[in-house]
Amino acid sequence: MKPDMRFRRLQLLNDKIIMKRLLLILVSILTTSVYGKDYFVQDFGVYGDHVTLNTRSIQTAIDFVSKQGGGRLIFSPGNYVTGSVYIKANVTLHLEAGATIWGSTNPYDYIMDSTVKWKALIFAIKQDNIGITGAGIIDGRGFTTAINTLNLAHRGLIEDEMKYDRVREWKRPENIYFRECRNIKIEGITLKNPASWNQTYDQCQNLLVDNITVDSKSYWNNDGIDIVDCKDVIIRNSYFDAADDVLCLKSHDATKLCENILIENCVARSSANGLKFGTVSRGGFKNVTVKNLTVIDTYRSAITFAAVDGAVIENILVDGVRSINTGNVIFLRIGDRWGKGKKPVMKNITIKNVYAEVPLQKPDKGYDYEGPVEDLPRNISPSSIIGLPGYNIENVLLENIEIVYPGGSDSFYAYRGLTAAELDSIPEMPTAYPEFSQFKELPAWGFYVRHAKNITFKNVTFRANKPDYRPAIVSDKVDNIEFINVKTEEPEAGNKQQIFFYKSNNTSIK
Amino acid sequence: MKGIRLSLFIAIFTITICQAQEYKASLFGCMSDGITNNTTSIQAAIDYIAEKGGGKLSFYVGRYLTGGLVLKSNVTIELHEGAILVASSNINDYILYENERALLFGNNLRNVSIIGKGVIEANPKQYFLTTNALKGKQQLQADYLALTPSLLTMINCSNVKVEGIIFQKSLQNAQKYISCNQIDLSNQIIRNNTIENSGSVVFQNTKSITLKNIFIDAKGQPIIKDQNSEIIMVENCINPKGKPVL
Amino acid sequence: MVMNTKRYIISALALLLINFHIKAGTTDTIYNASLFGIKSNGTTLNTTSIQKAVDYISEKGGGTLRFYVGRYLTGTIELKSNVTILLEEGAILLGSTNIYDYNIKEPIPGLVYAKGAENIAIRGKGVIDGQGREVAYNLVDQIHKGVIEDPMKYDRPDNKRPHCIYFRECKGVNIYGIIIKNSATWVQTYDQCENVVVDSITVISTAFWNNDGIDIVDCKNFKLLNSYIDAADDAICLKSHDKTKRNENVEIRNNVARSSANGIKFGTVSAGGYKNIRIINNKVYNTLRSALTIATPDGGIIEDIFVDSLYAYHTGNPIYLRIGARWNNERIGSMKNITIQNFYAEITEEKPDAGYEIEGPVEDNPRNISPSGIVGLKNMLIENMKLKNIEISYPGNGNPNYAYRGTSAKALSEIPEMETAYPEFSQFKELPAWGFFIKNARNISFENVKLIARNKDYRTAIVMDNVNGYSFKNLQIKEAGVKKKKQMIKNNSK
Repeated sequence: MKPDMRFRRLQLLNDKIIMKRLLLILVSILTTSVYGKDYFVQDFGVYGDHVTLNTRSIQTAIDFVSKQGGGRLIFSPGNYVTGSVYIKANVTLHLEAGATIWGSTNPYDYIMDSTVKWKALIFAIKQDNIGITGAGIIDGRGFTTAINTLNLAHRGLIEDEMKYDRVREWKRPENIYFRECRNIKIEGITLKNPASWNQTYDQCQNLLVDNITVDSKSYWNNDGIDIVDCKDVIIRNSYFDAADDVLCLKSHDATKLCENILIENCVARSSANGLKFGTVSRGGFKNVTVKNLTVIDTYRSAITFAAVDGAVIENILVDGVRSINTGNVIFLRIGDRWGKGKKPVMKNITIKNVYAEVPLQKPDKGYDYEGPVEDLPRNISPSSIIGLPGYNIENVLLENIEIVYPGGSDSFYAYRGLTAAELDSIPEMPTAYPEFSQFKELPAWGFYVRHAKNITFKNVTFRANKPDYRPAIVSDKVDNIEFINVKTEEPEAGNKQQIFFYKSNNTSIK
Repeated sequence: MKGIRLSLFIAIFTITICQAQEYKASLFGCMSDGITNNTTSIQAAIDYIAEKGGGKLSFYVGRYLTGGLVLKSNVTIELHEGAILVASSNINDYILYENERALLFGNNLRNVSIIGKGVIEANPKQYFLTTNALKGKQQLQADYLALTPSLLTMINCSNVKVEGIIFQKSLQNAQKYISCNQIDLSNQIIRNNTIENSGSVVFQNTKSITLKNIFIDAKGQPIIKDQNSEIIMVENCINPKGKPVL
Repeated sequence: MVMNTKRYIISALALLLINFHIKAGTTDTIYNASLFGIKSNGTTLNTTSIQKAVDYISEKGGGTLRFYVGRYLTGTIELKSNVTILLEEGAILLGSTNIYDYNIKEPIPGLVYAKGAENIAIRGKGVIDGQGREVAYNLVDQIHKGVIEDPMKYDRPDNKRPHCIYFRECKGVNIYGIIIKNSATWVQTYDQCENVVVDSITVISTAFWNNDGIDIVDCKNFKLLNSYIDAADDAICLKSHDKTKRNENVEIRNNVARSSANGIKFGTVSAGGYKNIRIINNKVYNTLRSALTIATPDGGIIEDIFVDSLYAYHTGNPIYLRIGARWNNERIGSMKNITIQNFYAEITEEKPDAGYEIEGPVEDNPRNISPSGIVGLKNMLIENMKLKNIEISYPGNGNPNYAYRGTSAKALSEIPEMETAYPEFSQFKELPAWGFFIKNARNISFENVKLIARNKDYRTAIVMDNVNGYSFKNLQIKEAGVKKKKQMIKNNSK
């Protein structure tokens, strides 16, 4: 059996197991949340008048409902201002259509939680059977809060090193931060304008995020959703628009990992990456399935998997991606940044049924908090799979993929040729922040592979709209790479060699 | 020689007192508009000053709306003429400390002063309106809703000075001292207290109390003192009829 | 005779029409704001576009810059000669909340600013909204960060807070119909201006400290008519900053004022003085301090003041007249020829401005409800004061145990002079009268004056100390629950 067939089978098997398991979770979350009585916030002295600061009243209500055995705490249409509150066991906040929870703009109204060392509007720490549901809105008013936090720092009232002239992420409130919770349902709501990341689920289990809308571009580091070291997670039917990474899986703890995760039917817009594993990637990411993902107007990559801090990334299936007006399509990267000797691994990755269009212009132009223009020069970057010497990225299958590039690179502007010297001049950058553009000019316009093993391209088409001085594909120090029915289209290309091998073994083109 | 030493000591002592740093409320973003709920900002200010070893938090003219605050040792609150601490009318804005609820709450503190010509006031009409409405909702327990906050409650505190303040429209007791020592109250006006069965100033198991120039125009009992409390000096503490309140 | 009058009226009308036509023909070209790229979205900062429009129109010989419905965010705009800003209904000139968008290098910055301009106007049913609270707190922030220096007196910025309107040395000013809201300091100041008409405007400004409703400073020929003013500080305020200048020929007619300080006030700064001021048919309500305060603590000369038909409801004090000696540099102010007639006031015991934003301060206590005050200096008496057809209802309830002031010669002599203090009806704390306290005055006449105390009071109605020449005609005093009580005490008076 060919190596690619081997891991494909494994993959499919894994996929089935994940699906079964997740289906079970779904049932368990849905059934647990049916129980409990309904309570109304106005019965606890909470006012939806857009003025009253309700922090302590909402907390009183949550504590009460939890003590009564749980239920839904219902926010009727209205505007509820609050600072940090903690959801307790068996309590679901239900926001009816027309109900908005507004984050206070006073930084002192937010608690720096002692467990997670982070600020948030809605916390839950070690609570089970909780949720936020309904058609209402949570609006963090993060821009104003972030600026007010900055003002306090300038007055010397809070200490902060102010990296990039902004207060560090953990001193600005997120909308939601849940840690070590089980059976969580986030459904229907709209999450807007956090001052930092938007929503973090950290070491949680059995999480369902369904049918939510995220508008998260009010300040720097506005991620869409951060899943950190969680197990058994479903994110589906949701729309995300974020200034920073959108669907972001992280691993903060070297002894933990993200496992059994299904992301399906989601749309992502970002001034960073659409789907991202990392940047912090200590433990790992296992058994993740992503289906029917649409990425639009996104500055960096539609898909970035980074194992730069010792993470193990394995058994990942991405099936069905439509990436339009997005700066880069696929970026798989092993680095060696904060791993402290832990060996990074990336293997058994399948990405299939992808259609992507990469523009010449900045894809997130006009959005608030556009991604930063980086040090240049660099022509449009290819998709890439880049490991490190001694740390190959293994067993990657790319199937049924079509990527349209603008082409038209200018060799006087930036140039990387195909001589041994030029290819070896591409730096390894093991400790750098992983980003598709980090190597500046790369020598291919379609796909660049380096330090990898068992790579298969099957039914793949790369199209350049204008002539490019580079070949479509460069394989650099790759062991066992196979091209089956790979097409390249480039105007005026003539007999140009579009697949270039350098120091690669067991190569085949069919 | 002894006299010189003593006066030198007093001089140094006064200098150190004078050096206690003043922090203005606006530094911490406190708003004097009467609408902004300043609870967390004022609390942050008190905590910050306490961490810096003590000092004075100054409020100048304006209405500062707030919920319950926890006082700290060596922190003085000065309400300058025209400054009003306005107590929130929402019961949930007061933290429950075992069996106490208060706008200003001190537990186990030393050297706490509240001084100035300013005002500490609540709004009984609004407070009881909203609290009774909550009772009608029959969710929160009756005993939770029954405990009405005082304007100031101190437990186990020593060397407390409350000087010059006008306490008005209190919800229950204006001031309450439990198991405290060295309590110095002077030049106060306590008025418009509309609650029948309250005490304007309550002492329980509190020693070394001095009271001077206090005018109490309030319903209920002006001063309630248990057997274990000990007042060492009273001077010119009267009610509207000019009668001594003790 | 009849014919003559008619002919006179017709010719006057014709003259007016001609005038109007000439004016219209030369200056009334209308330019819409959008012509200059001015945006109505509330977020685009339009300062430079609006300024360009104003400059352009002025250079073209004048005309009107018209704003239709929308929110026009802007910093300081300097109005130039012959330019009218027309704010149509729904148009809001919205002050930027960034302090650096204002002309803070000027001694007094303003959102709409003019200096030395002639024939300028702001008209229409639209709004000028200073967003003053936000501006002020952003300024506080800059001060706490150490970028701007300021003494922060009373923990608020002393300087650089912008007015909504500040006009200086302008001639021919017309403010008509507009609504002015939320200033960071005084709302509108007309300083050394001539021929000003402010008519039918609405001021609602309880956004921040020192929100005076309107300040008329050293102006000549000024009319404030038919306006409603609700202000956190003094509502209608005449001032004199320059000792060589004064307010002259001012008419204040048909206005309603609400204030957390004084309803109508002369001063506090009163360097030059006031002459020929006519205050006719105005109402004051829910006002913390006096309905009418006339003060000259800084050497100003006050003369020929005529107050007719002033009605005050639910206020803290009716009338306070005061000569002081504060910033006068040896010049002593004077006050004479004051007529107050057809005056009605209801004084309240509770705080009259309770519930308004930026409520006036509760002052150092104790003090029972204060009387009206007419207080000159020993060496400068208030002269020729006529009170006619007056009715004032006080709450009474003065409690001697709470605060006490006796009426013996000695007790009266213990009332401090406080000539250098800020003049305020409450400045002496407890006074020994519940109705009128008159000290250091000459030639005071009361005619048809009715004073009512709704509850018993330990004090007498009227106390006079060092009053040289007084007359009372038809004085009525009613104190509830009291039948025989000496209601007038005279010390050193004849």
